[in-house]
Amino acid sequence: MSLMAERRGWQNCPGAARPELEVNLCCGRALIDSEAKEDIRTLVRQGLNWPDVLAIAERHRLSPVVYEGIAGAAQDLVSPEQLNALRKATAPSTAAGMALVRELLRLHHAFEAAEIPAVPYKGPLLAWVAYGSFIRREYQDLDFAVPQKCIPDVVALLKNEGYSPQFDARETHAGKDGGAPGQYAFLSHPQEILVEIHTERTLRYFPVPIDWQDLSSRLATVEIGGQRLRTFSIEDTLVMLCVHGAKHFWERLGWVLDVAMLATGREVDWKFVTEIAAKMETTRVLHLGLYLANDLFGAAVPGPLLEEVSGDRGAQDLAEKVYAQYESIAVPGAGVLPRAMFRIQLRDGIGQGLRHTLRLAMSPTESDRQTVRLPRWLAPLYVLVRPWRLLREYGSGLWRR
Amino acid sequence: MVLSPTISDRSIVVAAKGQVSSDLAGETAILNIKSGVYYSLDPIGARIWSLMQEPRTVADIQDAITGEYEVEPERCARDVVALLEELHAQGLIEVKESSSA
Repeated sequence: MSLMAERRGWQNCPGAARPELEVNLCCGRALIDSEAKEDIRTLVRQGLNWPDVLAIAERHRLSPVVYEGIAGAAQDLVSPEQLNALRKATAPSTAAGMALVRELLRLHHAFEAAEIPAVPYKGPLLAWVAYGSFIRREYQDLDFAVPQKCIPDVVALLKNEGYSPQFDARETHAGKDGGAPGQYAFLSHPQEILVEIHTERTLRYFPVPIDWQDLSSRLATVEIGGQRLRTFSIEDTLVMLCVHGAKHFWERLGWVLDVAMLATGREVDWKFVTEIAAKMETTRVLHLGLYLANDLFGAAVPGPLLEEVSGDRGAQDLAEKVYAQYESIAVPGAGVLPRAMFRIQLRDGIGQGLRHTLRLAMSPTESDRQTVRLPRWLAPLYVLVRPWRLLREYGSGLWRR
Repeated sequence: MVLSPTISDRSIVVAAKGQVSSDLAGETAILNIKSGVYYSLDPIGARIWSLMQEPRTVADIQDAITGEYEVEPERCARDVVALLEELHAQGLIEVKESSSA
């Protein structure tokens, strides 16, 4: 464990002893706490393996944050070539980000004109709200949430706007005729912009289905390029980000930084955040997200809530599992059983955990349907395809792969 | 002083509507929402862009830049106007003549 890790937190994160990971963490932390700049300078002075710094930043979607952190804190300590390499690593995300900002505004306008209540979230909108810049955060697609009943209209609109649905046409009418996919994905041609549409049927990582009326009653307005966009409130977004991060086992530090940035430097009704999480049966999910955001990046979590989070042993056990993933540069592939255990532990109770994990394991997604194409009359058998695909893709986890 | 056919030091310049911009490490990226083209500005260009978030005369911008950076006034005037010409041509800024001219 490095001295800096002891001073800065992330005591339980063994991977942070690697200076190349630690400098990534410090660059994220510098957005919240300017004292981290001195740590960046110390780490650069001690010498870094720059290809590893870049590889870790790329894996965790932190390239812009690392470039800004090094340029802002230690430009005099690195060669112009090295700084240029860091800058070049941000070029793809800047170009993609700008293209997505434009598409966000174009599609938002189209949805509004068609009176489809599509709510944009994550992507460029989160970059703007949480980071104050469209190019400080990396994102590769656009996300909109709509009520399930609007999906046929959304499909027609997006087809008209040059998008091709990436799911089975039968899933358009989920509920009436078959199940919903993991998300309704659309791809534009020739720009290849990916748009993902989420509904109360696809957001299955929420143990309790989202309540549209409830969410819609407290949307926030964000102005971008002269357009007024309605998105989820800070409080709802924080819970959603924690659910999303947990869904992906918090594999990327960029997702943790999103929570830290959103939680810091703005007014958050924390009591309401915990009420939303309790109602959605995601209290431990919230605790885990806040624990990581505070421990790794110094997110501003108020004292009483931080005490509650620190007192949640389950959340801390899960954090240790998350930290174990950060030891290697490559994304580790956990087996099906550790993944299932993680999900069970995430729930607020063992019964809830078993029920929800079983439901997820038996709910086919588009990946299952792409793996095996079954005729319509055999569609119910997809519930058997899913466990088989998960085992094939991730292994059982009973031995190291 | 007339610095170009469209821009003088008394011209008032301001960021146009229909664009969004963002900063990273002192640089700025500006997106023309209509055309979809985006432009990158180095830290000095980014500083000029930040000054144009409010209407200002070209002379004010030149004064600010010569005050903040080590640059000859003549060279500064040339470079500032060249940048403003380009931004104007791309529809990213509006240029008006000062009423007190």
